Amino acid sequence: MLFNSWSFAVFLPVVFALHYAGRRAGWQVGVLTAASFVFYGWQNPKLLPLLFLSTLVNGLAAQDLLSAGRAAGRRRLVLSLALAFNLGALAFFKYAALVGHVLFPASLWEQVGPWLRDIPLPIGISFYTFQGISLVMESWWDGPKAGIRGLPAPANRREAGWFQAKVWFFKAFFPQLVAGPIVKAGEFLWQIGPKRLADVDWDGAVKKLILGFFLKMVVADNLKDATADLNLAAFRELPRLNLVALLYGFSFQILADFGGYSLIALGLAKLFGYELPLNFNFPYLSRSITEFWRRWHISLSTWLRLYLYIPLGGNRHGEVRTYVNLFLVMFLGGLWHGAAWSYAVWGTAHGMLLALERLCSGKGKSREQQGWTWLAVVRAFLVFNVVSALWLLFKLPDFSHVIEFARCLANNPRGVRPQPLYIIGLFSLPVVLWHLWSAAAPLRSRLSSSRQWQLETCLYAAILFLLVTNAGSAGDFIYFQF
Amino acid sequence: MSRARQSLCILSLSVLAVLGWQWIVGRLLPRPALAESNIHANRLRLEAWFLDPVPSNVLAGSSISGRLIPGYFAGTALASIANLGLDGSGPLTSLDCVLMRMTNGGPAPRRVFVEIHRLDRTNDANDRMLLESAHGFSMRLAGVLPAMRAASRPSTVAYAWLKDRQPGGGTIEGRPLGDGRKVVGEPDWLNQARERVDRLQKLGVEVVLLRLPVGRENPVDSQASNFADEVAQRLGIALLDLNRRTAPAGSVLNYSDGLHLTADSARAMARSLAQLAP
Repeated sequence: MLFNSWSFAVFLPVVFALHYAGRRAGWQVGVLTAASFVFYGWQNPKLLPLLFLSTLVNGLAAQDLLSAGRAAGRRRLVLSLALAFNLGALAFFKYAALVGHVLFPASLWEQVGPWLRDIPLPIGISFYTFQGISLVMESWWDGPKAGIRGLPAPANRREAGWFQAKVWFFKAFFPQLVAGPIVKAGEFLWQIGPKRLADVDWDGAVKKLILGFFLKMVVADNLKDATADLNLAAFRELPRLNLVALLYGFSFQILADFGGYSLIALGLAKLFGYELPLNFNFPYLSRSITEFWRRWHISLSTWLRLYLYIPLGGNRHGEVRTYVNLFLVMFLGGLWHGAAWSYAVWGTAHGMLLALERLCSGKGKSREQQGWTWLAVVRAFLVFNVVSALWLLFKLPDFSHVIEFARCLANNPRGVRPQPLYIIGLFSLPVVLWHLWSAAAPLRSRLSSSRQWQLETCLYAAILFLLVTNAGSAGDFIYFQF
Repeated sequence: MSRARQSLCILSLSVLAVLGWQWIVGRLLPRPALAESNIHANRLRLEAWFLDPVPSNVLAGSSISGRLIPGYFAGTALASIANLGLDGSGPLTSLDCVLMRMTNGGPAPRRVFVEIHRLDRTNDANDRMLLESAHGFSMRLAGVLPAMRAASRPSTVAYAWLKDRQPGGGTIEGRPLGDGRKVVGEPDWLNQARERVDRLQKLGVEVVLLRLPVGRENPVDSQASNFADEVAQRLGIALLDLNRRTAPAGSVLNYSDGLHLTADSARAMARSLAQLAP
């Protein structure tokens, strides 16, 4: 089910009413878990068994790892099996065709290739698999003595039932199920408990929902009408200025699309009394690629750092190993987005830039600045241009098309097609203003709190007005494909 | 309730803004006939057809006839006209829209002009989505709340305003060309067109095949082209060939992108159509 669909507009109030109809945590968790499965299986119920299986395996593994009196060997075996299951499922459903194409001899590929290519990609598999790994890893690290916060080891059958109910809820909670934020077990499970309607932070939730839906339905969905020209047949015909605008347009579109989805997820979770982690923090204000990755898809970069970079050794084993780890993490992070080499190249390019920055800035010492100087503005503009250029690998997964785009950028005629430029200019503007709003926070803080409140209220009313009157044609969320 | 005070203020202000905007676009601003994207241009045309009173004439076609916006016919014999020239689609989809409204019990127009350009294109997945949207929830909502119509989109209103003020420069001169195609056998598109034409005729609608100049149509300079004549004959309807009639007069037509008529040329073409229509 899509957040921007009419069916969701009916689904949400029904689930909200049912959730607060009971006061006990068991009822509320049951309602939200059941609703989450309805949400997930709405368009294709055939995808549900894999989600059930993934939840079951991770839940049982976590319970075993957190139980007292388990031998170290058994714990290691359980961890290995759980990780193998998670990574195996991801590899089979997402990367089988890519790996088969590389590893199999041509004759074998001819036979099995079509079958491998036809394996359906279950929506959200990358997100809920990573949450499963987080649960298992935290259970392994924290163990029976410490336990995961909010998930103590069960002492009897009744507690085991509640343990599993919490795990199923954590894995399936619909706001973050299909496209994140990727929630780590320790930051969510402790929040599970009875929720009261009187405690709902309406203002916080409504503002996030308005802004999230605006970014998706007004900015991203209108921009997509123009960035549809980012295909070989179309961009060959376009003047150079339009090609540059397309790059910027897609850069704003992908942020509005994914950032909008994340904000909707945060707002929805708030309605049910839960806090999800921030996923985007004005990434196009970044003054370095390092800072960009602290602001873009924060839940993924945090996950990669915690569960991949640090276990690989991080920066604790010398310079060479640090760079190798950095490349590897970014390569795999790129590949996480999709089974195409262009994603891996995209990730590796970011890895190279991170390494270069690390080399230039004195072994990772942060040189981020708090204030906005002219130099900071120039750096932010440069970083934005580099990041925008690299998004091309996302939009055009075929390398030859990327090269052709670069050729067209150099050789296509001058001139201008005003219609797409109008769309890109107009609908990119809110993202620019949104970033400026953040950058101007010190200025806003000089206003009295009532003035700030009034200004904010008027702005959100204007955004809601545009959401009602100026939404684009509904499109899928870009990150659903990952 | 203090945790909802700001939300209530936001909602109240935005409701006032929507109602105010609805009044402004309904009373003060001209209704836009052009939109910034194909999707919204089609939406404008579909909403005008499905939500406004049925006009006497309908132009069913592709993006080529889509340029002949209803305002260009003001003061002519075809002043009451709906334009269903759909960007990215073809006349068969437009005819489906015409029939959809009539089979839903709506009154029939007197005459339907069916553009020949892209008549040989049967409905694809995009066309089917477009047809579904014609009776979807959004369309019904737009019927109830005019602020949600495509014509009320602030970005579309601004675009139409800017487009009206755009100077005529930057165009590509074109020359009406002939069409060297032939109808081979009994193609599917012809059967589909015949079926739709028959249904319209049974409802008492006059159907006229219309050929408009297309900038880069098959580059065969052939005044002897008989494709349009042949199609008209096989469908058993009259042909109004504005391409042939304007070409010998030596008229120069301008195309904004080598394919679609500029505003001035489209206006001239609309006048010709109104004068020559049977």
